[in-house]
Amino acid sequence: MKYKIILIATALIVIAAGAYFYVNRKTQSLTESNADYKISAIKFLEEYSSDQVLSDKKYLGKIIQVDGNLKGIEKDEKGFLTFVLGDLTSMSSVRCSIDTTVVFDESTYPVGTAVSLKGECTGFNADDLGLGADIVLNRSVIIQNKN
Amino acid sequence: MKKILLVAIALFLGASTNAQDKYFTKNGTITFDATTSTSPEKVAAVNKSVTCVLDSKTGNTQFSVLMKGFEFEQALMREHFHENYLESEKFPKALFKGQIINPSQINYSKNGNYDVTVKGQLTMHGLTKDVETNGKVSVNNGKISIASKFSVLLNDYGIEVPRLVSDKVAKSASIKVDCSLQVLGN
Repeated sequence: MKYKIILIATALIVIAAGAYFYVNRKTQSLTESNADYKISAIKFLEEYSSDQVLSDKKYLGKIIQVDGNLKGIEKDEKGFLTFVLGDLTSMSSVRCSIDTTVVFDESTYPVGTAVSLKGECTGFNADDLGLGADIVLNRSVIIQNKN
Repeated sequence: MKKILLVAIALFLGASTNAQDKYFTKNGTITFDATTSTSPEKVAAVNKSVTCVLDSKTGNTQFSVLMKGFEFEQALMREHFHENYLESEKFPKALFKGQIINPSQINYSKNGNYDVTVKGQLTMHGLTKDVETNGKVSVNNGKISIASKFSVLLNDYGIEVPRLVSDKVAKSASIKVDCSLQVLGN
């Protein structure tokens, strides 16, 4: 009887602890996550531009490793950084919003550098506003500086 | 020949003026907050990749928001937001198309904070509703920024919160918009 009570109490504690950690788990950094797809920035833009619905089904919410040339690093007023990848002569880009935990030296990433980043695909803005089309990746981390 | 040159210059100047009338950002911020007094945690998310275009001449304003871009601190809250409430895969984008109804009151060449009223239509979760809200356009040494705070009733957009957590998620979410704009064409 005593063992039964101890067993039930232990099981309840384990279940409660598991539930607590499940409910309170934080959004993880993508550093250790495997990419669902690896693709070049230009090919990625081509796919999305040719069929947005199909591309959303394939890529939305997935972790994408994207390779391409750096068009620039944008910093907003709050200090949030975005790596802009793609064809330097085109207005369209893959925009990688950088995870706030990522630390790097901006001076080692001049325009034109071949870079590789990993981020979660949040979707595509077609060129409806005359600003170029964009694919946006969130929580992006830098994989390597290829130069 | 002179005529052609004059026409070319006039066209170029005309085009330059038009470009300078428009401002934009692709790094705007929108915060979503549906916290109640009984919420165990903040029910809040931030999207840092909002696209916004403002035409200073007409007051036309447009926002494009990728729903999957809303980030939560808590993973479970994030999953519920995207999968159950906003259904972000089915409705990947929210759009606002509207107009500042008093655009002539803003002097884009003079520093200051200008109160504005914006009227338009917000499409979210596949439903479009009229929205009217107050906001602020700030001019600071050529830098233009816009800010606004308004509420949306989740029910208006067909967003259903399960009864089990209905007292922990506000029926009316607070939306905070914050965008620093740059001249289109620069």
